[in-house]
Amino acid sequence: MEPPPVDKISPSSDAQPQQPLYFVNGAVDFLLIGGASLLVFLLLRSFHSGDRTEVIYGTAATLSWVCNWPHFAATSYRLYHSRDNLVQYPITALLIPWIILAGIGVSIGYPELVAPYFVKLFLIWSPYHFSGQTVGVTLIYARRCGFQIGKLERFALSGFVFGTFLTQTMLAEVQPGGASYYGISYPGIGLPFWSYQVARSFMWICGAGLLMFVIRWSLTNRRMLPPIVLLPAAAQYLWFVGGTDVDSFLEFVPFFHALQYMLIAWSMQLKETMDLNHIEPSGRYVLQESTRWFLINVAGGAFLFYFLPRMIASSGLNLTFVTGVVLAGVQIHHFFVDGVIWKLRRRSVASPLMVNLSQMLYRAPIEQETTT
Amino acid sequence: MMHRVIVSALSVGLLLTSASPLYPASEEVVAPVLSRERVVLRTLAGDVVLALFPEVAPKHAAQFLRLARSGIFDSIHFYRVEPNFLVQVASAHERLNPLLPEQKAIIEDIPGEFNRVPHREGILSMAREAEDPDSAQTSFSILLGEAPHLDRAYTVFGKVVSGMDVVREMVRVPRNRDSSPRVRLTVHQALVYENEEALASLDRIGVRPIPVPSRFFDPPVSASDPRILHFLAGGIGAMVLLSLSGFLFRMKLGGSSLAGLLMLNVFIGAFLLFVILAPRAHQNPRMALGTFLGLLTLLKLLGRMESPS
Repeated sequence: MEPPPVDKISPSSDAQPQQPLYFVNGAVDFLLIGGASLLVFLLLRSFHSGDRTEVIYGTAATLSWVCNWPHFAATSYRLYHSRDNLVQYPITALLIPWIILAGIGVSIGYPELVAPYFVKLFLIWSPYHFSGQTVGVTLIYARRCGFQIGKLERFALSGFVFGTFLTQTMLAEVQPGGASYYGISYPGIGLPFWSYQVARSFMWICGAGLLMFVIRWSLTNRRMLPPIVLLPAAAQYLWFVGGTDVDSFLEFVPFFHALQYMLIAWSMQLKETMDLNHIEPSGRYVLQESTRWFLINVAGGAFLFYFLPRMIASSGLNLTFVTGVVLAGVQIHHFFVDGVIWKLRRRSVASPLMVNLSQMLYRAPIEQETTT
Repeated sequence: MMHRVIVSALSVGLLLTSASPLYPASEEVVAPVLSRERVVLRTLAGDVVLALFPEVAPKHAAQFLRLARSGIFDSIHFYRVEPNFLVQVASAHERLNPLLPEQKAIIEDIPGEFNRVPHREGILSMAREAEDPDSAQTSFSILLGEAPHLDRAYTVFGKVVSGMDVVREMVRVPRNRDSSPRVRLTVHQALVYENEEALASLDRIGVRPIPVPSRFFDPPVSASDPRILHFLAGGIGAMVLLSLSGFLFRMKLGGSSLAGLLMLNVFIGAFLLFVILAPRAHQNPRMALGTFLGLLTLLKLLGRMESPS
């Protein structure tokens, strides 16, 4: 979910909430947008050794089936389920998969020469993509509550969020030793240590700037900025910087990212389907469409992450190696697609993003006609 | 009082037993009795089957089995590879999956059981602190050749009964100056079979090439390396093909899609450059920074690859 361009977000003139603030309600949104990660972090920090134990691995693996993998499938479903999208994004929808497949094929064909860099590309792109989503989600809630996002505010927000990504990534890249992903040894780039220090300072300066804008807005409007606006950025800080000393917590970071995504993609799905098919709001519709959408994505996720690597490896290739390459490919595809399908400047995207669940559950009351 | 006497007597007896040679000094034991159990190390390069020497190194054999049964050797790796000498497994504390608290509790120092079995190819020799003969824990070596200077200084406690070809495959990986391999030689799992018959049920994995021998620390691949040339030719070919397609279908494709095609070409070109530059980057901080910032710029541009047409 990439952030929209600055000039396409129209700041609210009176800074009053004009949209429902939440997708569902305060508690659910808070939990799914970042609160769950704060809670899990506190729990693990307080009551757990912090090690990646078997229980942690098992729990994270189970959550992958029901949330992480479906969130990748949800992107593909969103792009490919409508002919309109194929027409709108022909390169992304029709050409990119072949480029990714070629990347997977070349990586398998050149396991020493290409695979480590294919994996490396994915591993750098992944936290970058997380950051893009964090900024995007923040902008959605800012827009919902009327928090004006001008160029400076946008710079401070993006600087802080992407600063956490840079701080974490640059620290990892300071060492040239690299690491391993599904047995694929990938390189470290070997950045100078000062680059990490610069990134960290940049993050804090932008963070301070963001805080300043928030305080200014609160003073001007004589009310507190709803905490949920800053929650995604706070969660992102925990994922990449603040919580990195708790190993067990890091195991769940992809899940928290997927959780954010699933809430918004689900709301979009409900609203778009309802509008497209002129369906009346009802609890039955929400339940049926949610179940259908969720099951499709669980199946899609299982195909992409479980069955596809096994199908390719069945030709006699090393399953672990193939899994690493295919997973990198599937996720790179997700990053490509996600970068184009969530453009908020499109009214068809921006409008459903302002929806609240109650609008899909209940009919709007008929306004009484008044005569003057 | 009686209890103390018994304990003291047992201790003295134990000391005398451990101090007395199991075999006469003149007699070199070359074929000790093998344990009934077999331990299979499922490594990156295939399976290695081990048997232990419970008679010449009872404590080591028993503790090794205990460690293997509790999963402590799962995800450890060989950190030292010296051709014609040995390959050595790192301490379990450095394994990929952190040890569970109950696993940590099992690890304890094993007193030395230096015996007369000579260090030669296939022998398992327990590692220990140089200054402390009773400090062996989890790190051990597989000998690749004769090493008489280790005899009676390090405990021999077993041998490879099958899979030396797998060990030799691991020896082939590129190494750093300190003998550490440049690809992680992981032991995915250590399985214990109670006897040879039970082992027969295992679908053995024979020797297989290490999938990705990392060449990251190698000198950069020469531009004349045929693999580089093939890869570059393929990548450039794809770029030309995309450009041609864009040109041929320029009327049908909108401006946004043509821009998308251009970005795709940039992406492929950047990836080719990344593969060429990244191995060299760590040798030059400025190049490393340039590579990283270039990659970030590319990711930023890709986010704007295609607008709705």
